Amino acid sequence: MAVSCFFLARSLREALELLARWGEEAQVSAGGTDVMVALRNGNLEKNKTCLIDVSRVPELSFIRGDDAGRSVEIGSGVTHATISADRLVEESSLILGKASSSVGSPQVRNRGTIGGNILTAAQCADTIPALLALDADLVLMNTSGATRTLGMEDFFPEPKKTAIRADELLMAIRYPALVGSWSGSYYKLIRRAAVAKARLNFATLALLSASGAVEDVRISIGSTLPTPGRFAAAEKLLRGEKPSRGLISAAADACVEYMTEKAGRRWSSEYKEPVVRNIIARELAAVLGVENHNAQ
Amino acid sequence: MPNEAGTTMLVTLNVNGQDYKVESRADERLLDLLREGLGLMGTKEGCGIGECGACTVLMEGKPVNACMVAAGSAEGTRIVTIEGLEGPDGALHPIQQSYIDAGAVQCGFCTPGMIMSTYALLSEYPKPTDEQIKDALSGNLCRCTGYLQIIAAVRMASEKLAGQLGNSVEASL
Repeated sequence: MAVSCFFLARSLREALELLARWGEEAQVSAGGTDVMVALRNGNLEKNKTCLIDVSRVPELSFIRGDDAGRSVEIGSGVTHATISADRLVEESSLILGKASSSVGSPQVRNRGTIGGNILTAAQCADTIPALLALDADLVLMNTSGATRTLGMEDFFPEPKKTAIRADELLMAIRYPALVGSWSGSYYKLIRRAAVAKARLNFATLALLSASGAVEDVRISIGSTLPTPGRFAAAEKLLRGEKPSRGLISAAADACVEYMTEKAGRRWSSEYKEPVVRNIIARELAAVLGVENHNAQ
Repeated sequence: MPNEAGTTMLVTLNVNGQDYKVESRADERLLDLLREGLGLMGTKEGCGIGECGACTVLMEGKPVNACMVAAGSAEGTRIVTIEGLEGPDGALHPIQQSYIDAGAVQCGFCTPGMIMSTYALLSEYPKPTDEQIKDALSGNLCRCTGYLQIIAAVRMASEKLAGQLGNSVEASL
């Protein structure tokens, strides 16, 4: 079946009404940077016959912090260009702006949205590792107006699939603001500097206590696991400890071990194992303030 | 707009300062609307998947890949294509002239997209650094020049225009 109808929703209400009316046949599109390419290549799901453009829905286009400064919420329709230039995002997340600024090209960032990046659920999605490290939640609304909230880790039940239902819109992404002296890094391993898919992308956040021990640490590496997730074993190994080269080395090994356990050994393992080990060690050293023995 | 299954829709938009109502199909792209609907052939289709930037146009003043925008998504927007840059007397825009003078046009296929990205850059940053130039053109591929002449053309255009694009992309239209 080909796409034979198109609607431009002007409000949340209109978007939900269109979604209710077209149900499984509806393909929601925001910036179109994934959907239009899939349409051209014949890769839209076969039953999708109706495009619903939500890029002008004002209710999906906002960035705001709560009054207490504890959390930040980003509308699903906010573009990567806006996110990468936003001061609140920069201060509260340390890494999301950089993740968004690494997407595609200026042309793609001007149209592509954070919601689209999540819903396309590509292995190499640039914002997903950052949002996992930020402990982000996703707010979904169904066509009756009921909302539910899912954690990032629960949102990807299978490879390239998300937990969104046919009668739901992704409304917003919400994460606890990083308060205190967190350090963060986001590194995209890529063949050339623009318009290339990430080989691997590393999102790392760490908070040291007054005594210099690791109070909290979060690690997520894109394109390493069958479904996006965090590296809990490595994080656990680091938590409460004083950072050292030896500790970081053990955590890097734990990352590789977890990747192999989850993804199995594959054609790319020979490349990915040393690369993940060395780069995550370098990233951890940077956020934990330890001189890196792998530094080139 | 809106439309029902199987029918064409009318997209109302402003292209290069002129208002149009264009009939278009639900699965059409802005690129198709410009080239086939309006006969504006200056905007090129290279890869068709948003990697080469040959189809770059300005949508509400910002560079976008016209191959990734549904025709219907352009409803009510202001679009500027390469045809919109030349003067009323057909004179080349200073950016176009700079590309020629700097030898930045070889096969020419990437040029319209490059120039639209350059226009957006110089509207925002009249005196861009080399880093800003490279970043602004990072979504435009050129297989001929090796980019050095293109960067030279942007610098030349920046000097020629001396900030006269200001912050308004429509300023010179």
